[in-house]
Amino acid sequence: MSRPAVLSLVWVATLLLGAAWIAARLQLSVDLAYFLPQPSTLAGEILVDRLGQGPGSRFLFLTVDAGTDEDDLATFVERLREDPRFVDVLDGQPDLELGDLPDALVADRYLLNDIDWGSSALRQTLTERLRDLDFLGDEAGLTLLARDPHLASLRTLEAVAPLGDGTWTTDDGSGRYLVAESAAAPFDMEGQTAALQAIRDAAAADAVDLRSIGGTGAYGVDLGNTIRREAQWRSALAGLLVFVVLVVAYRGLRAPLVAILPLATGAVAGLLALTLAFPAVHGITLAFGFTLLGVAVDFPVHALSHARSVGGRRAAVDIWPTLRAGAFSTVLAYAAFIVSGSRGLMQLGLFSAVGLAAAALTTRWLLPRLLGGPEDRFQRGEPSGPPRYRNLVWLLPALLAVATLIARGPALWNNDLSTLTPVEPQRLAEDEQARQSVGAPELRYLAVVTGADPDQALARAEEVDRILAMGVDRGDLSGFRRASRLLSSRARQARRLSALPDPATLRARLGVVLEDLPFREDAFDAFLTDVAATAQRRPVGLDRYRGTRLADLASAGLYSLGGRWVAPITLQGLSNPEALAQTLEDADAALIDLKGASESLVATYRTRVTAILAGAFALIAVVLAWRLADGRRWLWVTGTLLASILITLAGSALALSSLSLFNLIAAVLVAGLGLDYALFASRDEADRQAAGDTRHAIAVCAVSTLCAFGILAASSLPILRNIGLTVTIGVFANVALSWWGATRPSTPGPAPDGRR
Amino acid sequence: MTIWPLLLLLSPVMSATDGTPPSARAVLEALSAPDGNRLVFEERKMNRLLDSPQVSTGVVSVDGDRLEKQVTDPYQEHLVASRDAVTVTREGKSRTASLRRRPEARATFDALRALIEGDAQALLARFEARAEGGWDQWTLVLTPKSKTFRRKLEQLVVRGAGSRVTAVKTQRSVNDWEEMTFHAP
Repeated sequence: MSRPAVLSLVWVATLLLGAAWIAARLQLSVDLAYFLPQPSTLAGEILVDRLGQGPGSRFLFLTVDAGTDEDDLATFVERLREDPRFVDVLDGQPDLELGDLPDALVADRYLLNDIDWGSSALRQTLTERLRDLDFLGDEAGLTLLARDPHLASLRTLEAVAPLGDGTWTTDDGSGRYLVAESAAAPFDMEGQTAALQAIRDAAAADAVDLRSIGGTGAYGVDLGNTIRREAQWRSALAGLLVFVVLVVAYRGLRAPLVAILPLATGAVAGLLALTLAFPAVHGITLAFGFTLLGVAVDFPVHALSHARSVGGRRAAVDIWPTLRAGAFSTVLAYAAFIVSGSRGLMQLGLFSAVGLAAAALTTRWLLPRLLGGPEDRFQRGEPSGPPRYRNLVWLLPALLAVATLIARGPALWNNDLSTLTPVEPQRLAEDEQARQSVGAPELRYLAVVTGADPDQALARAEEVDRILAMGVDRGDLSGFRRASRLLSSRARQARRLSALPDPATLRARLGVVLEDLPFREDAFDAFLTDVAATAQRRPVGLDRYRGTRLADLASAGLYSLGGRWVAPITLQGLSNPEALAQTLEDADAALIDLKGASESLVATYRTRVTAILAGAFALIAVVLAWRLADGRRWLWVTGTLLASILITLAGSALALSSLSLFNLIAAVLVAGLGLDYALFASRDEADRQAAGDTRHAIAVCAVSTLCAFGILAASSLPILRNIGLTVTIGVFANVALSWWGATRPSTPGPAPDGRR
Repeated sequence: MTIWPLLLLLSPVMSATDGTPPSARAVLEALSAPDGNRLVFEERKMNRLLDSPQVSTGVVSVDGDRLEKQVTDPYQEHLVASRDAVTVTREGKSRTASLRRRPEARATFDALRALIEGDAQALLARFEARAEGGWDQWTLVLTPKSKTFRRKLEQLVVRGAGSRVTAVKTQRSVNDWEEMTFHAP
């Protein structure tokens, strides 16, 4: 076996072993927090804290045919309820089980509710209860009534989980909504996929005509599947096209096969670094990382083009100074992401920097051994002379691009993450309709009360209750739910305790009131006993619900976040956010617009990425100043690079109407490619042959990159289209500026002394 | 729930008045679709917390599966019952209770539907039925066959005179019942 054959076998085997080792250890994560920066505002903090765990975000909205047999539907619901993948499944509003009220709510009812103990209030209450006998007529209801004629325990329960309207039907009446609360978090793709499958299986087993499943989790799974499907076939097609381009360019199969090796080495090295440095790697890191690593395909292409005339070994040596300057600068630029402060970008930087370095090194030291060829320099033709730089070629487009970007004004940036998701607007509208029908909490707005300690937060929240109740009366919102209603400030509890009438007084008052009412004289003895027992109680604190089934609800209702105590209040049917925001502000509370918070988070994030880009660019300029002794060349290369980044951004903004984070990441790749083209285009070539090889290489690089990213640009998925289009525009800008920006004199000039 | 017996207002119509005591099955099979949909009622409720029956009056009407009850005295209240839920509106505020997780209420409901539709078969599957009196004044005593059901509902007593249902009594226990008596408006 020849030496190159042995080497390539060893190389491929090593890569496969490395890949296998990584595959066994690499933990993938889809935790969104990986890509979020440290929030700086309360709204931001709450947003990050709630991402993936907010109330209602685990709801899956099932639409079944309204004509579905009741018994089948009941079996279906029961089957899902018993499935551990679901916390609960509701077919219509849950019924209050009067005989099954949480003990703590009944026992603490006079600590948690304000009661008017006066005679006239008592009379009014008991008169109202007479009319409630339709609702409270059964055994459990009568037992509750005898103990708790004010229905105070129900009031607490309703404040944390209000009643709605029976069953939920679609607007046209042809469908019926069910709500399944998944145990898995909405962004837990695996868990959500399993939950969706369980629902479909159960529907099939019980002959339930399941029309659709909506909700955050369902859209997440759809989205993941669509992206995977789109990305998979488009990547495969792109890879195939690049292969074809290489086969045509180098007239054979060997070149493309060889060219893959440095890229594969880069990928394995990058993954290895990630696996060693991080316990888990985000899926988006990998997607973006492979995009950035695309530059690595260009390295062997340069070697291959030059190898056509001087052989592989010589070519690798020939191009190395240029390749080294470009790769080194690009590695530094990518590595800038490591200091970004977000784990996701840190991983992205590490992966692409390590990968690129590995690809460059293998192109220089291993690839030539496969390509073969003599070490010695061939006979060369006439030298072509040093390039002439046309500075205006980059200066004018750069100025035009800046003008375009400035003209876009604030509309330049798209801060709405949701427009980047491929969920169809119609499905989002259906989701909204389902939420309204079932009275699910607003996902966008949240009222938040904070305090230095639990008592302060609770005291403020109690005041906010009053304000929100007035808002409901005014029609600003249809309802609200405050889980911290399960608790009450110690001061208020103490006040309620001291307001309790002594047993004899209460008995006397009740006796007088009962004289005019059809209740039996002894009907409320249990009530008198309970009030007397409450008088012996002390105020209850945060640990009241520990170990009970209300524990989760209580701890979601009041929790410590960044040194503050936060009591969130979920809102329903909010129609006038502005008015409510104002009144809440006056009460030391805040209406948090989670959409606004996410937008400002995105904006902060983008500012950070832009700063990193600018820093990386400055770093590249410094490194180039050191590597390129020629001042004119340095000016031309950095100018050309700057111009092509600006044109890329301006072109993308014009084509996509606004820019997002994805365009910025794509622009980083464009910068890497542009640097590569500009450095090679401005090489002080030894002869015409070498200059031809360089141009051949740049053309092959550009055509293969255009093919690959053109296919992505044609995708209907915003994320793929964004990246694809930006890179496509960028490659055009890169090639145009490099090609026409540096020309050679038509008559060959004298060869410079030394090679470079 | 006290409202289900009202569905009996979709009055049974007698096809024959031959003076002989009718069998429960005969009464049931005589049931057919009603022609008048509105009736004035007087309701008396009694339970273990009350020392005397609580009396209210108003108007009831029936439209398919939907039943409306308007209490006019001694207080104002509007109640709408469908198959799945009951909604009560009082002083502009509504409250809805689902019947979904109350199998006994649903069972009662199903039985009453069977009564209205004259589905003797379905009714006799769930209740022991006994008829007393003659066609001009009859009493139908319906006792749940299921023991669990019987714990929630001792019996339904339906009284009729001529072609009308005159009263329905929901008896949960000796001390716990509601009775509605009806008049044409």
